[in-house]
Amino acid sequence: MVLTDELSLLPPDALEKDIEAQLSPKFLAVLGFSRAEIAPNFPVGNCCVDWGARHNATQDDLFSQTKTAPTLYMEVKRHSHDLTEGSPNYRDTVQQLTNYLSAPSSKTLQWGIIQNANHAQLFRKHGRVVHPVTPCIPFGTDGTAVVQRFKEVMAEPVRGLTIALYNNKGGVGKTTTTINLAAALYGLGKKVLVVELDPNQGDLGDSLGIEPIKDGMSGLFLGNHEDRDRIIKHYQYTHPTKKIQHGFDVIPSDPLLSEDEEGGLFKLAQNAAAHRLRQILEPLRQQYDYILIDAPPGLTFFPRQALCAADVVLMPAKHNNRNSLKNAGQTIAQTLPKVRGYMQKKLGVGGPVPLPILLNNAQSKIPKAQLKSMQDCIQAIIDEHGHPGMDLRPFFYPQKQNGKTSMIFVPAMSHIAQSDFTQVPGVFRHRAIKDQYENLAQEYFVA
Amino acid sequence: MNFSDIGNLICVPLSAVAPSPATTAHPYLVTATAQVTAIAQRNWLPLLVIETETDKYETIGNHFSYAVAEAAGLQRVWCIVCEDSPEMRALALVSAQDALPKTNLSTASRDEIAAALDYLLSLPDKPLKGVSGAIATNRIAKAPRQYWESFTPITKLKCGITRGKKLKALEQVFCLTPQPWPEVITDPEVLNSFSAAELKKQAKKRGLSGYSKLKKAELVELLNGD
Repeated sequence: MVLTDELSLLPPDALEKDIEAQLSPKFLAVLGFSRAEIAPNFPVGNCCVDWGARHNATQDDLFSQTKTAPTLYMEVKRHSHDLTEGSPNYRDTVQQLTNYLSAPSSKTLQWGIIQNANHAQLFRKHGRVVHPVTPCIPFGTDGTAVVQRFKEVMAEPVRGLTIALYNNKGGVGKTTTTINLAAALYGLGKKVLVVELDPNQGDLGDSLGIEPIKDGMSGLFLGNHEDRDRIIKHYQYTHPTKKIQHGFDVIPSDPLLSEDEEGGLFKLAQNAAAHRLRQILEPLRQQYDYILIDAPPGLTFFPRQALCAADVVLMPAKHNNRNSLKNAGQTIAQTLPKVRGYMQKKLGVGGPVPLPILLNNAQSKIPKAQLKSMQDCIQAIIDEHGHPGMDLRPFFYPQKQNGKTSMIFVPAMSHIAQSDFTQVPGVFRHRAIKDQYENLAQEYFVA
Repeated sequence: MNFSDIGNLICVPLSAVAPSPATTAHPYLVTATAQVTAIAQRNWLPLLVIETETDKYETIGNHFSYAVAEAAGLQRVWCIVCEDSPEMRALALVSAQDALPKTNLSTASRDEIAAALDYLLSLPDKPLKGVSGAIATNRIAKAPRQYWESFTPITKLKCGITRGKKLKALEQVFCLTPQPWPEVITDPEVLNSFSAAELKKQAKKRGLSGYSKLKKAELVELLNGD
């Protein structure tokens, strides 16, 4: 079929140059990029990615000649370079592709592909985030599976990025981070939806003054109705002097899903598949730039739903809370690979990948002794879970500079906690908080 | 055949090298290093020099090693011959850490601003004491800095950087290559950085009327409108 000849002609120990010569141009061609729309050895900063590609809009702007504004990069490896998830080569190759896609010159990029003629995986770039959108698919004898899935995904680019805010440990500031991050993203001109997935607490809606909706979310979980508009409420805040209106959308919790509720539907809803929330949110992904899911702690029904629905997972942790750091490490090393495996098999999507850990509520100056014990603890976590295919270090210390150990953090500010009482996100009321969270939003998400 | 000396490691009499400007290093570092150098009788870290005339040299980087060689009484010093151009001189100074590299604040990305401010915050004499890196980064990055002719507008951003020592500290790491103000300014962010009186002047220049009694927010709206 599509790539049968090219694949059968490759020697079993094909080198990168063989794949480049025989497979790559044809592979890009069946993905819909003609000869005039691809360029080999495309320069990115001081390096070169193997291929750059972009569809030509007009006849006088041929990408193969102008080589401007590419939308896709492809990195090719030799046959023996194992690209199955969990191998050291896979990790390095994904890192390499991510670096290319994050380079300052790569503003127009949407897609990235890694392939070695055995496997191929497609990645999406959304703002600053690069995450997989397909599993690592084997080529087989004709490559149909790869080509079909890649074309499906690229034909319908999704507008939004779904972010789960999660830590197996409670009380690390997930809800506060969710609200303020949503407000900051709104301030940066993005359309934001917040999903509260904690019917036992219902804290998020409460701290915004939004009533829970009975028979809202539960109906969707049970498949009783598909009416998503009914469960979305708009949160709005008008600044007292500036008269500017701020707001974002919220899906509040549903008390019927609470384990406490008499005649509740918790038991019934629990029969829903782990990916039900993802299906519920699917149409909304085209309407919002960011969907933030406030997940409860633990690994029970609702946290699992949140992780399965997410593209990326943001884990707040506290410097003086050992368990919050330990659990974050465990989530990256053990839980998320399992969730990815499930989602890849079930829906053919990439599944959730972790973002660097957020140190929440950090004192502006952590005492040396505390800093030392935190760093020792992090080192122990890195050592415990580390194996050739898994390195937790970049998730704790994302700074690329050698020897520098600094984490992404939000300092403790009394106004942040205070804003729960006023039922307004701190970001909307206090300029200092706005600066902190806008920084955070730009560090993680907004390019 | 290439007769150029550029890039070569050469050993020349110290007397052939013009005295270099004073190093920024503490005198203790110079004398203590000189003691070790006197035993070894050579400098392992070469001076960065340019050839000013035949067999005459001038140090353009690593002034520390010159001071050490002088103090240790070395007869000959090892040097690397560099290209003589303003860019290369600047590069030599920065790579030998004789001067701080500067970030162009007119064009810098947000990450570059954050890194430069973080450097100033980490200095032992704390020139930016009490300033929050995150807040200052966010406000400076969002400000219309492409038009700034000096750093003074930063003092109006209320990010804790005040006139005097703090503003001076910024000059160590930032420089500006401003672009001229556009004829007609409509960006509300930029308009907000002007005072009400300045906004009224702009309204007059554009031939608008009925602006004299407006408040600042209304003036911004008026000028933003067309």
